[in-house]
Amino acid sequence: MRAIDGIEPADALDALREALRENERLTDRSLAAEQQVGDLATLYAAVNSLHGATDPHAVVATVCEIVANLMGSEEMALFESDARNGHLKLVATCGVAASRFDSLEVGAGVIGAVAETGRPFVRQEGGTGDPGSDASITACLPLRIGTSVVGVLAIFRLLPHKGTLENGDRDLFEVLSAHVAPALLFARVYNGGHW
Amino acid sequence: MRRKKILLADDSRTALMIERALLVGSPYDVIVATDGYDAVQQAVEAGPDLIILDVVMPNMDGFEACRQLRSLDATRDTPIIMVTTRGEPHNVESGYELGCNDYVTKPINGPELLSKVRNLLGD
Repeated sequence: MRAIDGIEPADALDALREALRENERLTDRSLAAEQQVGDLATLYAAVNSLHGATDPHAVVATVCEIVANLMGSEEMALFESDARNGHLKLVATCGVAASRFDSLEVGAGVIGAVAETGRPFVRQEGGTGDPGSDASITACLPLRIGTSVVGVLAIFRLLPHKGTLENGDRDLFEVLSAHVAPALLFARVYNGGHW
Repeated sequence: MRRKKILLADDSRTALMIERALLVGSPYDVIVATDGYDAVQQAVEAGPDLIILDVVMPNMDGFEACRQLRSLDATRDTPIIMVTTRGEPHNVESGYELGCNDYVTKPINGPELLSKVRNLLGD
């Protein structure tokens, strides 16, 4: 083969290969950027929805929405710590029978341990088994106001198509841990302390 | 050039917020409906280029809204992406039988939704 406009065919081929590699690199970076935008959009939607709710029922409904729409589970339970008697008081459930949580003590089981230690429990592959049982817990998050743990959010089985937790879910857990209790507190104060 | 218009139909404030946030950097105008009835009305009035339709909505669910949209001259050919919380085959099949073009499952994956939007809008 002979040169065209002074460019050797082998050189042109090399340049084409390099352009294709560059194209692949840019596509990868674009996809990674879109994934980041998606993760940030999730966190933005979670924080904004939580603090946009002005009554406690709306805050609880928003937590259910966040867990279902942004995380991929339709089973959760929200508890408050009662410092006077060391019990956990059930505030609300979605997709799990409230009767499962008649008497929960701080320190007992996964939920009680999270209330006691303030350390989140996360099962990457998701919980399985009887809904509401310790085995069915995918994530159990301490709910904080400042540095105090004032409650626990337990998220049970993931939706079947969700499979396992993803990197973005961990960021969402941090948002829930930090923002659910302040949102509930604000909503109660706004409503004169009433539900 | 005319900006393309997308109708988002979902009763969940959180889901609408994330869908809007995903589309905010894209060259599309976004309008919103919060139930199936509202979605059909807005689709007829505003003539969107694409509809993103949640399945579970009050007053009229996404399946019925999809059926009605396909029966109206104004919206017969408008691409529809159904949004389901459950990716079970029968849910997906029902959507396709009623005339949706594609579907995504919640929790919404940003790149996946954007890719389907671009694909259906030819961008």
